[in-house]
Amino acid sequence: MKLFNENLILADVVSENHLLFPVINRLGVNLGFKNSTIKTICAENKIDIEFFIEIINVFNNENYFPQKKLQQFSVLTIINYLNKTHEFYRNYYIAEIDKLIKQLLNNDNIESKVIRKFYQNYQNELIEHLKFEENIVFPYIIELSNLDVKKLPAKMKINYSINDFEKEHSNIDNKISDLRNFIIRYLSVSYDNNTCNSLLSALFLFEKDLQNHTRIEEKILFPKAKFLEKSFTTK
Amino acid sequence: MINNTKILVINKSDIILLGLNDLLKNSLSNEIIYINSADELENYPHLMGYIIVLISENDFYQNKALINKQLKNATKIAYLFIELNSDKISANTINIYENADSITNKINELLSSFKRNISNKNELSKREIEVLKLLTKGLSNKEIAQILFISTYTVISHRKNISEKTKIKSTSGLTIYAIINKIVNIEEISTSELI
Repeated sequence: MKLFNENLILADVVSENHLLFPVINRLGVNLGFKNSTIKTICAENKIDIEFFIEIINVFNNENYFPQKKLQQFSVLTIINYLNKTHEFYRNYYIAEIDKLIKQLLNNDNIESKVIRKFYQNYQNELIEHLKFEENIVFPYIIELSNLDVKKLPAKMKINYSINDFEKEHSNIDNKISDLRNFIIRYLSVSYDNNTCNSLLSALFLFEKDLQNHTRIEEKILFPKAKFLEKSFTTK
Repeated sequence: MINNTKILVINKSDIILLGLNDLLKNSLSNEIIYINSADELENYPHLMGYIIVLISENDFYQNKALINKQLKNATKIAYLFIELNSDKISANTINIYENADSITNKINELLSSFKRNISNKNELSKREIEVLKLLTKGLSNKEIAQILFISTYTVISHRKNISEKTKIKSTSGLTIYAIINKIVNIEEISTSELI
């Protein structure tokens, strides 16, 4: 798979892989690309072009993940992108999947009941997790990145450590794949094929998006934060 | 599983990469990754499962350690050597003068040999069902080990196999699995919050 570069026409890139549209959206570009190149569009919208290119390549090719390059972007650039991603999850995927689950499993069969409940618990857990990142973890990392090592008080009080936090991610990724497998493998009651089809597409896309999201947090943002934490604690 | 096998082509020459791309993309549905050197593998850190590597014999011996390190998560790796010398044609090489069918046949043979390696045991064993039942009661690995007189390590290994067979990974997911498949009754579940 070839990597995208800044000289390509954005409309062509999106035509080649339309799943990139929401990603481009999150990066700050809206529809109406005309025939402009990525370079021009990024300049017009004041978007960090290198970050833009790397993110669309990471999304376009699930095996591509240039860790070193990505770690060079600033904490703010990364967090800004992650926050927008969260917003998109809430407004789009979570809302959509919730609606489709209720529509598909709208009977009192035990099977429907337990899967519905499984999803409800998962959704609550996920929303809680996103909120926690936005309200506690991200501000904490931004604060870390703003602190001047020299001006630091003798005893820094680190009230939150990134290490405590990573475990939650694998749990969230596992449960969405479990849900998809319930729908594909283990449904036996009669259900509506069209609803099922829409639900599966949404689940597939969300699962893939989440995996990328987790990777950016765990392999890029958190290592940066840990590095900052370490530089303070060793003082 | 055949379709999940990835094909990794490593060659300095863009002409060879693009040529192979043209030749392979219509006959194989597998994901194919093209890179110019083994060093670029660091940009693909999560490659796993079954992988076929197309590389020149020379590059292979020079980069063997690096490739093994970067592909440490692979389940199985098979190599086909890219050969530029028209005289050397053998079963484990792809000669650039070979015709397209012959090249795709060699890759397809490797793909089917992978398939033969994958056993088809999807049913849970008796022991796995016992472990699953205890899991749904909210017991920890250690508690399950004590009840079944086995080591915690064995419990973890059973759990891994259960997840591999059922494709369900989370504990609450496994509980739902056990209910749907009538391995346990809903009344037996201690964690009523699930339902």
